[in-house]
Amino acid sequence: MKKDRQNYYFIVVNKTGGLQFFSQLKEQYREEQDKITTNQVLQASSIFYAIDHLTQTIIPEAIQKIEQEKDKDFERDNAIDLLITENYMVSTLKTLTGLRFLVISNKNLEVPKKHEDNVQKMRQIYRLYTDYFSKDPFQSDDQPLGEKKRVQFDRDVRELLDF
Amino acid sequence: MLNTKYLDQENLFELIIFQGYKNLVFYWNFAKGIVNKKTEIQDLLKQNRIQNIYGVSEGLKGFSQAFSSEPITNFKYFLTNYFKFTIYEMCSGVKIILLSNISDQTDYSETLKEVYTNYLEIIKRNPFYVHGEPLDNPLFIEKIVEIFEPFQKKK
Repeated sequence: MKKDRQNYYFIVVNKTGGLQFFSQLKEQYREEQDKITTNQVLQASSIFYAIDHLTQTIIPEAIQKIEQEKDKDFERDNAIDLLITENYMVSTLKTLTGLRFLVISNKNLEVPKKHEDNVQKMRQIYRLYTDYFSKDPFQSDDQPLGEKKRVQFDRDVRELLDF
Repeated sequence: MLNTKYLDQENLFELIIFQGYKNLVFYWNFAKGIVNKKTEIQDLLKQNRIQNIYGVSEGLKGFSQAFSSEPITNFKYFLTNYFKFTIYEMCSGVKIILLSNISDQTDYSETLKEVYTNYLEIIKRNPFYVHGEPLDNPLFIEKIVEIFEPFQKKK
């Protein structure tokens, strides 16, 4: 059986597509070069933001007709909830304000259940997020945290995600 | 997960096959019919929707490869509130994409792999097929219809 070499990540993408927080929860590399750089994560998160936005244009016609009758706002409600690849899965939570939380973890046999678990944990992290970002009058909107607070937030996130 | 949302709708919406860079070779709208004549395909390509489908698959490819510990060609599928997007991509640049209903729990990765093996046998290994041309081989179409027959709802 293949050893579980998939790393776990937690990412927060702000409503304009920039990277607001990134944490690598499990680190296991073959070589030092395999380590993912902050640059790569920056690029990946802006790609994700752009594509997530683009998916609202490819909704099938039959579904579009049903939802438009109800006067649905696709921009607010459409989001990539779950992305599966061969080795890992990405669970996302999109808030009403356009903020996106991503948890990248390995796949279990029961994907829907693990996705639900991840989403519940992300909702708890969202409450923590408001403590660190929104309620702080000195924290500017959409900007990443300062060093000291980032370490604290990182510790709290690790505790919530059982790391 | 909201898997009881569109139960009264069809299971499958669209099957799309790309070859190379933005080259559409096969399009099957399960409600309307198959499009594989050259003029109709060119008309389809001008629509933004098909371009966006290609763009989504290429964009998420970059995203998926960044976080993978092993090399992969592309992701398998993703789910939104409204539909499910399954893709089977090979290193040669062939992308086979299926848009389906979120209430449908089947994993279509295996069926798309079957579509690919038929594509290889009937299209690619045919010495008379020119790369880039639409797929209008009647045997291929028959096989594809046969593959997706059991997944469509019977009326």
